[in-house]
Amino acid sequence: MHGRPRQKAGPPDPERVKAAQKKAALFGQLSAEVLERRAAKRYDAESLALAGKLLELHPEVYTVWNYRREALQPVLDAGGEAAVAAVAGELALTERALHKNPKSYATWHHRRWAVAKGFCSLERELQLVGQLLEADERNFHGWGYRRFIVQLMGTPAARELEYAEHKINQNFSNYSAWHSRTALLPELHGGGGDGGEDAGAAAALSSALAAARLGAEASAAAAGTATAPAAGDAGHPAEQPSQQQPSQQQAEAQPAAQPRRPPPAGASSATAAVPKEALDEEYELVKQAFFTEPEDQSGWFYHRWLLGCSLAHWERARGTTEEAAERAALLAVLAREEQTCQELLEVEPDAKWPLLTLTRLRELERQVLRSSSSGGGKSSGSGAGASGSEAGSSGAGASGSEAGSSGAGASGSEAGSSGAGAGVGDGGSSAGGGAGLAAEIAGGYARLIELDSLRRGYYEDARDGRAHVVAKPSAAAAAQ
Amino acid sequence: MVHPARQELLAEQHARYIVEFSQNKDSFEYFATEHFRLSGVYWGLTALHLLGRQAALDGAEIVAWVLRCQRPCGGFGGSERHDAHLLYTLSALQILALYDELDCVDVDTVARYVASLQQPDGSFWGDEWGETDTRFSYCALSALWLLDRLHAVDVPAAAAYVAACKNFDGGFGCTPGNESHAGQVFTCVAALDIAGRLDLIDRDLLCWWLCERQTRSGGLNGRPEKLQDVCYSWWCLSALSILGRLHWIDQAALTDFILDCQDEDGGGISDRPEDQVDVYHTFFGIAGLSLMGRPGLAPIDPTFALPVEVVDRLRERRREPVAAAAEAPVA
Repeated sequence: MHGRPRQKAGPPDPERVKAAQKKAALFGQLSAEVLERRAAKRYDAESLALAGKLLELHPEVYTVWNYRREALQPVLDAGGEAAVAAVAGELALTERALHKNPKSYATWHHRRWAVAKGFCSLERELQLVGQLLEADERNFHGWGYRRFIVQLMGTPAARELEYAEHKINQNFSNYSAWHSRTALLPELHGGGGDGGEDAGAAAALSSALAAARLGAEASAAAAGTATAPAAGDAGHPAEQPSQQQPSQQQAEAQPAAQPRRPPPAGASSATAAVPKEALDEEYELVKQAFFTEPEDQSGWFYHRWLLGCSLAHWERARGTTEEAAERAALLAVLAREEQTCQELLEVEPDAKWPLLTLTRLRELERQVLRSSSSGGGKSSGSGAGASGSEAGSSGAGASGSEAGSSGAGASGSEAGSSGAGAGVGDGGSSAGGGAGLAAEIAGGYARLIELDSLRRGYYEDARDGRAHVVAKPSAAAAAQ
Repeated sequence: MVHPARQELLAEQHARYIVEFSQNKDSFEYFATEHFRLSGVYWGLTALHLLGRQAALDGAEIVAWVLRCQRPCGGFGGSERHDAHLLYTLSALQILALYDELDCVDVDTVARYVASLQQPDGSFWGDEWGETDTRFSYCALSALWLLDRLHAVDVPAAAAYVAACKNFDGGFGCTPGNESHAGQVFTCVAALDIAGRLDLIDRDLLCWWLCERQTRSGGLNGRPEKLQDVCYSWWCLSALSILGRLHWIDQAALTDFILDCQDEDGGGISDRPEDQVDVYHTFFGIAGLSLMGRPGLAPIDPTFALPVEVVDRLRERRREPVAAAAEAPVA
């Protein structure tokens, strides 16, 4: 049981045993009663109240939520005051159930189902989930539900970005809020890297609507009655009436006959969509986090993403007239961030995160310097690097298992590493970055192995050019 | 640092704990777990297999019970009185695979049920009520692979949807835009493995994020700044294993953490040392040890979460021409 202390062995307390048996018997009886009424399709108020009672005690019993949906669907389809009252009842019940278990998938799903019917205030939902995230700031169900609501409301990304900043300022360790920024920033600045404009937002909306589809049908069916969705979502649900619940008959008649829509594009990989000025503001925000909580990993993961975005600006300009300017801009960012890491290391010389980041910044610097010394644009080495990566990395994987990996390293590694093994080794550093940079990088990883021995295997692979978390061999970078 | 009574894997005690738990039909836990009992049985049974003690439970009785959990639509409910859902459909097939009894079900009926839940964007609903989650993408692909019916769904679309759930840290969330979580990472990496699309993963980035899940305790957490928990010994480790990066964590430290979560009195494994044990953590602790090659445990397949022996048997049979003809898809 998650987080429940173990009871030491010994003679059981008879009172306690009796109480436990009574509780079990009562719960068993309630379950039996509810499931029997469900089997008999009893949708009266008393039966639903019993079902509600069971769900308040034990919110994960999905079949009983199904029971309530079966019973209430006709009421919601009919619309009017009865529908408004029914949705209010489901919202109150799910609120009590979430109080019991704030991580109940079945309960969150039921609430989305009820809300998507359009008989309630989305503003109130936003307020409630805000309260939940005050009390439980990392609840990913709560964050996901918030995203669902703001998408229904059509809230601009800028406003949600403010919310994420508010949560970060409350607590710099709120990884969920940092994550949220990585999804919102590309959206604010015109879409993710490869999906075109609004692809990320469209993907998320389509996903949110998938859950709400039955609601959409109901709204469409009852069009003209008092089923207009609550304020702020003029453009939402009813435009998907063609989506149908897969009935058994349909499934058997035409198993795979659904039309395919293009899959949603990935929302938050490193992207050049976020302008450099906006990235600078983010670097400043995360710097505050470093100086407040230098040991917390949340900000550092975010920083790595920012570096990827800065790198993407340069990558995009390769071979164009802007390349030199972008290269200079990137090197300036690297120098500034190295400076930040150095300042942190002056205060705490053994701090792992600034040391790791500094080492990676130097790898990036070496990559930039190398590429320019090899003539800029499309380096002649890229093809060789790419073709070498398969063989190189699979060999490296095998030889790198000195850390006692018990042979399992080989099990699934058909595709090998994403990066070229030998490509970025010592030969590269002498070409551009200089031996000094190479020595600093090697020294950084050596020190990390001492400071953070749990991750020795990773640091060794990174040191030896078998792992590439930020800087990439030019071949891999050019291929993207 | 490991408790003196927990230095070794207490195999006998764990097997006894699993068997006793499965036979105690009066406890609150028995009633409270009814809606996901198929998964509970799968966890217990697979743990017993890894321990080499599968004979401790009555297979014929279990198979008959599993079949009673099937609904007319072809899917399986969490137990006899519950509705069909992809989560329990996979558990049912896994149990049947453990007993080599997949022939007991009508393969195409089950495959059609799974296929009926795929959406136009490639995602899967868990059941007819529309919850969308990459967990269900895994359940669907894994179930269809066990049935040798992957072609019943649009596999490229399924993989593309999973890839759309990839985040800035290389991890995966339950739908696009949702935060990465190690449990979700397992389902997404394994789903992409089944789909033959591991190339869609930022391997180094993701594996670095995964190895950062190891805390000073030696145990693994599921998200940054969270507590370690034995179950992530499976969720993180399986993904690292599929991606060939098991050596990025300290396996000796993790082994000690898992061993220290054992209950030397009643058997079983808990989420953290001195917490109450349950079948879920008992399975994931043993499965994690198995992935790390613990002597005395049968090896487990990181993608299908079944003993390697069971997965190999299915693979072998498909290679044999006679079996291939018998299982050929109905056009």
